[in-house]
Amino acid sequence: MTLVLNIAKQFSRSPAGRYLTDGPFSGQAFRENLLLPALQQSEQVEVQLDGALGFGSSFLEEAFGGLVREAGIKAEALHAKLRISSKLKTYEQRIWRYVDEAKPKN
Amino acid sequence: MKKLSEKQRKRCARNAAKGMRERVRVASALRRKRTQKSDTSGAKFVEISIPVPLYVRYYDEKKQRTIFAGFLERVERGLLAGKRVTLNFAETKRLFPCGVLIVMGMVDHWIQKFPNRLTANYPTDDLVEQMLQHVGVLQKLGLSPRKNISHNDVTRWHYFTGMNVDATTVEPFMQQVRDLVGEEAQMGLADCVNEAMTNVRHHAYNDDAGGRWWIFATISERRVFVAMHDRGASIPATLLEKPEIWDYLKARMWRQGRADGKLISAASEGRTSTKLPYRGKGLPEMLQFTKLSDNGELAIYSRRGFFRFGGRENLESIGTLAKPITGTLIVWMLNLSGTTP
Repeated sequence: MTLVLNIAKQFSRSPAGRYLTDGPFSGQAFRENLLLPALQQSEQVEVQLDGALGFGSSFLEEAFGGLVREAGIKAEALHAKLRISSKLKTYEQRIWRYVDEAKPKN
Repeated sequence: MKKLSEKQRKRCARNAAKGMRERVRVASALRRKRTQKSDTSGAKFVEISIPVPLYVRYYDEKKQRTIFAGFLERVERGLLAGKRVTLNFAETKRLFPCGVLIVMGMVDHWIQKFPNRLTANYPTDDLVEQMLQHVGVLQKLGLSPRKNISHNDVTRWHYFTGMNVDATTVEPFMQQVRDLVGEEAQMGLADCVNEAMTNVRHHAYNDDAGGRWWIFATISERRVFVAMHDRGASIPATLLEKPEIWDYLKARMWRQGRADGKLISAASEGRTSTKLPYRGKGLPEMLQFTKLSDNGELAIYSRRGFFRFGGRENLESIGTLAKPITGTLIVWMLNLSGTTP
């Protein structure tokens, strides 16, 4: 079963920032409150980006690169389990670049 | 008539000079007394009126920028000297966006730091008054709004201020941009603005309290203007918190601020104070996005330096400011018709 997360509808139309201390709709908040629980609950997760007014690289890197760096999930596992859906292909490419470049902390 | 000896002549001259000094002292004491007024707490202040320049302008015009910066310095000096300052807008004929943005930042800062010590005269120019009322500066200075804000040169401007990273603040402007230029170009712009807010939070105000930023923006046809200002630590200062070997060799030049433009340029190429590989993407992405825009311009002013990209030949230039700016001012002017993020 695929669990669908729409950032604009379920999180914010204007997500921005990296850490919880940055502001209310940061990458860390999205990862910890929505994305990680979704990945733990479901075999497949689809994150829909359309509808948001913008992100910023800090948000995207922390939300998705942070899965590898902070949560210790392997990039290969994410490629198998996570799907990014966006009309603008550049976002999809950037997210996968952040995932592939991230290094686990420990 | 009896001729005075040399000694007597010198004594007379000394007494005359002494008398003159005394008269000047008494006259200035009287003047001070006349201008001294007390606030609600009963404290007494000397009042001074400082004329706001004819053109409130920061971007692109060195002479007017220096005059404007000199005016800000005079106000700051007056407030620091314990005086009550009236900003006299009587002669002000034109406000330019970056000038307005810096005034907004300074007024917020002065009001917080020197409560009840700053006020203003109503401007004589109708447009100047409409704009200062539109952005709330007159109200903050204790003047009641009295204009119907109707002129397109005023109403088309959006202004926002906030703490930390909260892009919901700028949603109305981003929605307007999306409606005019489409989703793709608008999202590229929003990515840059969101990242600029994040940079302010992480670098300019890197403590628990965070700090305030100000944005002034408009879109006309498909040409977008966005300026963002913060009053936190400057880009050169934050970079030099984690110096590189080269910085030690150039320490003297760096300290004097003579190479601040070079440091801002380095930041726009990806140098970051965090030294973390996944950080420091903000300014390079802003520069990249500007390069994709036809006739796009990006200018960054911080501490004593500036970095600019754009113009007809898409040239990069760096330089030194005659008077330093507190914090950072970033200005984008983009033609979003042919931009893809």
